[in-house]
Amino acid sequence: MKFLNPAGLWLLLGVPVLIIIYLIKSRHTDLPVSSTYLWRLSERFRKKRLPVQRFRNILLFLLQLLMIVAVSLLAAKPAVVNGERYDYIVLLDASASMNTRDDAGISRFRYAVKQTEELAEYVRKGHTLSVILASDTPSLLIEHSDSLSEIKHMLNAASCSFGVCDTATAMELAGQTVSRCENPRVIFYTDRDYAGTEGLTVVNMNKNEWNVSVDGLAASAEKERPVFTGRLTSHNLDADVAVGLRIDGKTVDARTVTLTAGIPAEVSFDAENLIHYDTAEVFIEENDGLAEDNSYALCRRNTGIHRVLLVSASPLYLESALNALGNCEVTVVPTTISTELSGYDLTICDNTLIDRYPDSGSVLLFGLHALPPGLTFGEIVAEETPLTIVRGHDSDFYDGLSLGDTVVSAYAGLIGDASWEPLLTCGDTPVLMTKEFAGGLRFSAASFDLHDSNLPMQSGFVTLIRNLVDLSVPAILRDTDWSVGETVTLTVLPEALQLYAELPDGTVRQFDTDALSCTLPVNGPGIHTAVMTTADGGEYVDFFVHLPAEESSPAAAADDMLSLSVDLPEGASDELLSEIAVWVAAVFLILLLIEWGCWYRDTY
Amino acid sequence: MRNVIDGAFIAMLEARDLQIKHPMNGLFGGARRVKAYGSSAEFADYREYHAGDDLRRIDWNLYARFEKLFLKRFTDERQLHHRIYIDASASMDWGEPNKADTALKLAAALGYLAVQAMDRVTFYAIHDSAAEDISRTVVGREAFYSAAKQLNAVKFYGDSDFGRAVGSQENPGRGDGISVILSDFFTDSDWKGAVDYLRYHNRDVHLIQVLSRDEIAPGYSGKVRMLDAEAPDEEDDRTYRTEITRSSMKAYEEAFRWHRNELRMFCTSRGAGFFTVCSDERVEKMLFEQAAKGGMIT
Repeated sequence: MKFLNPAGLWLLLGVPVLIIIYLIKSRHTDLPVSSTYLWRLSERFRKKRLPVQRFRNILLFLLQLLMIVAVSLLAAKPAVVNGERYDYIVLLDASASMNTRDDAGISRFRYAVKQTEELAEYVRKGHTLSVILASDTPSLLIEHSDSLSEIKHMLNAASCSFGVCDTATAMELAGQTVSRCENPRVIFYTDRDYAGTEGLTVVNMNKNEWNVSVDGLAASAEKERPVFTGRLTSHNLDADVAVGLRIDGKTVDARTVTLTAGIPAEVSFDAENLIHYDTAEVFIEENDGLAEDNSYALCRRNTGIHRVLLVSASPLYLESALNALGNCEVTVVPTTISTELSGYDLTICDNTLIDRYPDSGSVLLFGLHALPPGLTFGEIVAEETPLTIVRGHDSDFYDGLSLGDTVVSAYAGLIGDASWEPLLTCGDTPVLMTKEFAGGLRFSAASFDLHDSNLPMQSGFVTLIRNLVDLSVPAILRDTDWSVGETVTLTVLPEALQLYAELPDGTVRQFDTDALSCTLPVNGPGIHTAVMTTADGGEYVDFFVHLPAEESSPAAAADDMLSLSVDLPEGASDELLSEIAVWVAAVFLILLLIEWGCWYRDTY
Repeated sequence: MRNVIDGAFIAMLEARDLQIKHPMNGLFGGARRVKAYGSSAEFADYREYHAGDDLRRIDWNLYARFEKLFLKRFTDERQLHHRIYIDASASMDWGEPNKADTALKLAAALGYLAVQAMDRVTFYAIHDSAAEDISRTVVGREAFYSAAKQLNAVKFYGDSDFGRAVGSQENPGRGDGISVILSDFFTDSDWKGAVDYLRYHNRDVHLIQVLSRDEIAPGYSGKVRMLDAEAPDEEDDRTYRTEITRSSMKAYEEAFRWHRNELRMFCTSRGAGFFTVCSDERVEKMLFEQAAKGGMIT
């Protein structure tokens, strides 16, 4: 026989404590009385006691003694082990790929849980089981349990995440658990192949189920209309797959494509007659293994109505373009002198001098008359130079933007530090730069006069202005493409009365509007919505959260070498002590109740 | 200092008298009518005339009617001598109100009733095996008030042995009054012998058991070492160790009932009176309810 928790034997210290209590208790207190005659006489009227009653006190003492021993043994968990006893430590990979279902509709994670439950049956034979849920934030689900019901309860309550598996942390946690075991056996249920394992057994739950994933979606402006290109991959099987395009929740196009296993393919959709959209989504309708990667959405910010102050002596081009956007309330003034500059989301100064900057909202400057602090003009060039877009930045500024044959006949280069981001160049010379300041406010400056360019004549001019406005106006959230496990940072705009996020499952997360920003860890895929209410109404931003790319191809071999680092964590002994303290408290409570019960019975 | 009597106490007793159950002789000169034939004005019965009888007592009306001589006989009035024994052991100096106070008040009350009826009374304090005469024989109210002061000064200490204290009295009186013993009777001494001894001397015997409330219903609990007031030494046999439990309380109650019943049964069998009083009761109640009910006071 072995004790699974020998620390429980510390409770036997209660035996001497009990004896001391009885020794102290057995003292008689002196009681002066008028006469002991009747008390002595009462001896003959005492009922004849059975030997059991005569020794009731000693029996009570023995009972309490036995109880201490029993509780001590219970805490020490004695077990008769046939052969060697193991402390099983199971790691359950809870990454998104473990949600992949087979033809029976059962996920790899559930199969792993089922096998763990089968392993849990061994606790009846004196083994113990610990379970670590290896998600992006691994946690110890069960530690050294020998209770089958507890294990089953915890396993049934366990759920798989949609993030990645933080293998390193999980291994560290397993190592700590191992260090508290006498005879550990570590089993890792996962769906990945590892280059090597050390000190643990890996059980691969991957059954090469068929899965098609939409890995990405991009929009480009071709032929003056957006073109959406989705990237798809079929895993483990060549397949003809039905792919569709949804715009703002309405399916506008669909087709069947033939995919070769393991080879990514692109599918493009021309969105004819599409001027504006909030959400474009490429999706597949197949009953494959993992449903959560069957769509990919591109969300545009719904920016509401922007209050724009246009300071220009000849505002025709810009005013026309702003009005064409349909979401701008434009106020035109010829000069900033004697003009109230506050209360606007964006102030655009078109080739005019500025006596002061607004104290709220963003600023966009055109021309060679003014520059924001931190920028200086370079040499003025007076020859026609093509205007080009600086690619390489992941920004809404480039969304659908095409400048065609735009040239500028006179411009000056802009010189600023690295915090200034170039957006447009003439040759290699930056002519449009931008910088974001606190509170989402942004300064942008274009160092050419629109009248010295054919830009206003180009079809892309409106798109450029739209993107500049969108870029400049403070927004709750600019990036609308996120991955599960990332943390979304929402900017709390000064006018916000309420800020909350609606998750795909319908739950709502409220945020504190007194903070400058707030964070939202995203744990599930789908379209999320951040909503800000203001005194004027408010605005919302949809953003899409997709599965981590590697989770759609679970068969991919990982290069990681799995090994357990066994360290005794600090506080382990504290845990042990606190556990013992609970048991000791329970024992003394029981003793106290017994004593009280006996006293009550005797007294009343 | 105690005060066993006061004006109100005296007033309360004015209309009362001690009741004598058994035929008494007494001394000449008292006011207590006895069954002996004497020269009082109260007619008792007739008897036939014998030679030598006083001719003045012949009832001539009866002679006219029956032509036989009969003598008229009258009851006699005597002075009785009552004796009141007070257990002055330490166990009596106990309780709240104090049992000793109660015993002395009762003794004073009985004494006053005696002197009021022109009887004599003697108070004894029993210490160990001796009955100490507290005030010598009291006759008349003036002497009684003086004796009351002596009662106030009685000390309660030590042990008491009734059997020997009463039994060793050479002259406990013979057929001439009431003997009252005031005690808690929590004693191993031969109190039965005392009662028999007094009854042998043709005394009207009354036993009054004086108890305190905590003796009738003790409120103790836990493990205790009881120290007897009469033997405070821990090594004395009377020191009693026990754990007060529900069963021990039941046994005590049973012992209490048995002891009182023993007193009552024995007194009944000897023609003696017995009743119990509790020190927290009013003396009026003790006298006019319990003593009257026991046939001690009319």
